[in-house]
Amino acid sequence: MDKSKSISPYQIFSVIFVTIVFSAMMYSNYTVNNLDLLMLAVSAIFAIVVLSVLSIPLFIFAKRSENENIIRIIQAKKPVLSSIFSLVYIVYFMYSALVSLLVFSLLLSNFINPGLPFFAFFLLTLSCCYYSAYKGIAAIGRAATIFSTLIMLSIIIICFSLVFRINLLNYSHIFIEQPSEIFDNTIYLVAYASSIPSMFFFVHKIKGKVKKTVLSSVIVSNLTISALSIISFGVLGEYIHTTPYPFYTATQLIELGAFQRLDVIFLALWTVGMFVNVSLSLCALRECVQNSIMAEKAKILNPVLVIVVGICAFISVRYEPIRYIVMNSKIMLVTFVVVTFIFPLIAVLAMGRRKISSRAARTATLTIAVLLCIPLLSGCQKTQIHDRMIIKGVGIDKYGEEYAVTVQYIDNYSDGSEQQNKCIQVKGKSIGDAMGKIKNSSGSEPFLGQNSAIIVGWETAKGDMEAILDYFIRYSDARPTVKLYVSETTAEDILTLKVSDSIIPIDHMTTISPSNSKNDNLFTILNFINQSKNSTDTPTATVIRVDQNTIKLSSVAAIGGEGEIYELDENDFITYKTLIGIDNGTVLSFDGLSGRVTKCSTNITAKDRNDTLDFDISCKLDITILENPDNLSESEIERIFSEELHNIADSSVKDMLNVKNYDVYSLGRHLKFSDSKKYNNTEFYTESLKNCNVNINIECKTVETTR
Amino acid sequence: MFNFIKKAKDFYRPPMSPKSNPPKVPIDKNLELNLERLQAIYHDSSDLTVKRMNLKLSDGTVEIAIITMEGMVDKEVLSTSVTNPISTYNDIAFSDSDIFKIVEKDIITNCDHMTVKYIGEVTTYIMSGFACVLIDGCENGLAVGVQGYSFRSVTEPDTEVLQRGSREGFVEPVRVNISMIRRRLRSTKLKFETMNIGDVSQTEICLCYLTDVVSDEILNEVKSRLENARLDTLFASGYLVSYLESGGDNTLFSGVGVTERPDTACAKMCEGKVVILVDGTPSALVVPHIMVENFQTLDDYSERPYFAAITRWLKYMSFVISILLPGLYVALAAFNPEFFPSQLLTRVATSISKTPFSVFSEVLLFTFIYEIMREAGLRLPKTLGHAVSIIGGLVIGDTAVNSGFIGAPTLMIVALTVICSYVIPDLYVSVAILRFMFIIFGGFWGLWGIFLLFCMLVVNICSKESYGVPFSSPIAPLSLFGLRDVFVRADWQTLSRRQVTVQDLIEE
Repeated sequence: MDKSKSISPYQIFSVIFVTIVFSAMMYSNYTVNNLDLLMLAVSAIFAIVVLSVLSIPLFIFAKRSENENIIRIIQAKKPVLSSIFSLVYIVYFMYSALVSLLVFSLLLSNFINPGLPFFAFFLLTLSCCYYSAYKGIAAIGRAATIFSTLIMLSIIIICFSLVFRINLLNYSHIFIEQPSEIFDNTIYLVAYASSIPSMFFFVHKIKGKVKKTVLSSVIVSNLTISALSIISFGVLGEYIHTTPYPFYTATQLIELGAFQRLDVIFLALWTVGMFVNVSLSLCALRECVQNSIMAEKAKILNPVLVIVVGICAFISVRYEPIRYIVMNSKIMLVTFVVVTFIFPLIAVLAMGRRKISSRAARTATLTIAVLLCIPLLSGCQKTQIHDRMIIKGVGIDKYGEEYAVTVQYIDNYSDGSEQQNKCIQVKGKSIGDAMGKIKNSSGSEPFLGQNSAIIVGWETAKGDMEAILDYFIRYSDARPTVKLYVSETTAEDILTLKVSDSIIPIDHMTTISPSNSKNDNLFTILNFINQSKNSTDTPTATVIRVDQNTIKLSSVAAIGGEGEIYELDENDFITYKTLIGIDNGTVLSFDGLSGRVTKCSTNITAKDRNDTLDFDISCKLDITILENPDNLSESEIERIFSEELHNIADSSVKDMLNVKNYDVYSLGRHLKFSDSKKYNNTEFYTESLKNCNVNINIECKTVETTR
Repeated sequence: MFNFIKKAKDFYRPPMSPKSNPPKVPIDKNLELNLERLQAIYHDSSDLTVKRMNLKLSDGTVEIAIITMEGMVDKEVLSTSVTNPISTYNDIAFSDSDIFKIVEKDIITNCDHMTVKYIGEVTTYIMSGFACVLIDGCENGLAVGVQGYSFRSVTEPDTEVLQRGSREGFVEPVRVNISMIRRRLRSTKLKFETMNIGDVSQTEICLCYLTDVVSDEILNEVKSRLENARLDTLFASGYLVSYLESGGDNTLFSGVGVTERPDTACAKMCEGKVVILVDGTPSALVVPHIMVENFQTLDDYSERPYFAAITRWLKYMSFVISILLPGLYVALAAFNPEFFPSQLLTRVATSISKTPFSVFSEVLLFTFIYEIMREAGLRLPKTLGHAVSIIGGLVIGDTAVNSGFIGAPTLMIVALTVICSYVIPDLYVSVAILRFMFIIFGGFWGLWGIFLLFCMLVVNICSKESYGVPFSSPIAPLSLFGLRDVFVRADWQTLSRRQVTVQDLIEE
């Protein structure tokens, strides 16, 4: 039954939505000079306007064309010009497919590292996308409706999961960015929307209103990008500057129960988006070739052009200067404007009626079969899982100029039901050097994907912590939610601690700092880097020690850099826990009266009152009474706790700010949040902090135990 | 230069010989000539039975021959309705033309009879179990329906078992199947059209449809494709699938549905579809066929809507698990172990370390072994099936794991996959192929291979059309009206307001 394929508006909506969202997810420091998710959110709004304007020729074209694409229309009046048009469009679609492949392959190789050779990846991807292009735009459109539904659901899950990890203080520098960053991000978003120009070849097959469909898809997709950017920025904060792919890093923080790595959802979305993007480009390329002067050779030309794309991608990956030119947003923008705005305007002026000739012969499917049969180029020789050392904890100590890395790992070959952990120590001139030696000494390749803790020795922590942690930030398997500890002695002492000849598994350390959403955020590399990158905060890390063959939580250390590290004393620690709002079951004891904190909430507001700077800190604690030897009343107990805590906190905060110059309570960030423009200057608010008034109000409330 | 390729192609697919249309030989007035021709056609086959009788008239006798095929007729009916009336008839003489009318209307008491004019028709009817009555001096003959060949009794189909549906399934004779459909769908709009396919076998097929619901375009297309089917023999309905499908039978999913149940066939006809019955096959073909129909059973419509929704989702999940799970396991274990939960990772690593094969090899090998066992189980005599199941269960399941030949996680993964694949038996062939493909893609290219193959699979499903109906409808293109019965089953009060037909799915 011959039935010309017609594409519904929702299918086009889905195609444009998937491709624009994917292009935004490729936002990285390979595509944009300065990463700023907050500005990306603003740029997405501008991109709606720009894309809508640039799509005007498409709307006009859709109204006037009946059964013709842009090449055919010009061919009727200006054959020579149509040849030029077709060549330009062919090059453009090859270029857009190339860029999509490139960015995705860079993600794979530099960040995720599956061990797949580039050539195999390009062949596989191009084969799959070529198959899809061969099936036609209707098949791609229908598939896109399914993919877009999955993408929307996944984005909802991602947003919902990340919302609870947002730190409002990360939004402190909103509206103080340079306009150029908004401009660059807008160029990026517009230039990478390659689905719009491809519509010129399919618009005659679309049923319904093209204008409404395209506009709505542009608006929805950019608003989605905006929302994702805002949420991701709220979660990552300054950590964004350490990662090349901020969206991917944000999804690495999602955990749902036993499912720790939900970033695989994001990777699936990326792959699907890349697939649709490249398929659409190749499908438009086919249409272009079949309607051009080379229509007779289309059967051979199509696969040849696809192979050329693959070769160009392979070359671009290898040579950075070529890659830089290829992925330059400005060059992409120029080509985008030419094929989306200028050429179609010319075509609209040269509109004419012409019967469409019969389609060119079918493309060869044998190429696909041959390309798929290249297993030798696959990654099947990658190291098997049982040959890898599954590391559960890493300890770093520095002796002189050498780093000693102690690693606790799971013994895969242990018999019996109980999993045995083992330790190994290697030394190197750097962390990376030492980690590289692990394979030589143990025979297994280290695997940090399940690493749960990084412990730094006391003396080592006085050095450059960012440099120490840099390896674990950039390592492809590592996650930003890994817990960070500082040992009172050396990291080796903690990791090699034995009880009954068995090493204490590092997993048990999680019970030291009870796991909940607040604590999980606080004691991680993410939080540490966020604090250290922020010019106001003094980064903190949990201090642990060995006490009678057990590992105990000691306190928190303020790491000031330049050889400074200060372990908070008991009062400072209590103040820290209270002001930061840690729900850790802290036991407070005053004159025989003791209680356990079950819930803690803190609100810090900075107020600039002309000559003085005030911080209003209000804390509310729920306390369960443990011991009440004098049988005091509830109100009396609450008063005692409140007063004692207030006294402790008051002296501790002033001491920290004025004497020790440690801003462990992130007061500086609160100040910036209150007035970003005024307090953008670091020196200005550092001085302000020293002369500020801190008004602390603590309310304690006794509660019954729930069990 | 490329002549050798063309020659190889011609060898593999020789050009089709033109369809032979033998001339129609009319029945001669001379009975002996007709009988000689028939004997020559059948090469004096021993099962061709010719009973000569004399019709007594007042002025003489007229010779009549009753031609049947041994074992194809009911002898009692034959003698009651044909031979006895002929032998007892005794009336006045009439002219030759009147003899045929008298034989047709007064002598033959069987109401199922047709007039035949050509030798070809005589042979067709004889081989369908009819008794052909040829009269000396008449140009026409009579084919009387006295079929009495043995066939299997109506039983419940093995492949489509329902909890609350009927226990009747199609049988081999097409006429019995027609009656089963007619009994269920007592509508005057129900129409049956028969035709013969197979130059040698002349197998009877029957197109069944409702004239007020069916799409004329689809019906004409089906007829056209069947008429152009160049088959010598048709022994199973599966032969026709290649002609009925748009892209031949090399596609991953079939655009032609199969059912062994008359109630299902009736339900499909009410949706505007065409059901094709093939003589000798206890299953009916249904066109057009879309993807979501593989997940629908009649039980869904007998149960509560919420339970039907649960079972539907179970089937969808089972489909996804059956194709994705082994490949995903291989991809994660080989390329991205960081995505495993921590405890699972250690167990997987420990089990793999104790086996000699890589994860990819293990999963592929074990899946292959299972397919061998499944195929063996299908062909085995039932008496031996018990022994094989013990060997399969104990040896493969227990001993192989204990000896360290394969790992327990692999065994569990493959077992779960296999169980899930039987939840949707209609898709077993596709699932089996896809499972292997996903394992290979996962083993060679990891998660990216899985994702890309999944994308290709979706595109493949979306690109397919069955008689103009998109195979992925009503999901893509989206039809909210059609979605009432896809992921959940709306209650009957909603469904009965208007039936979803093929027309609704074609018009986007």
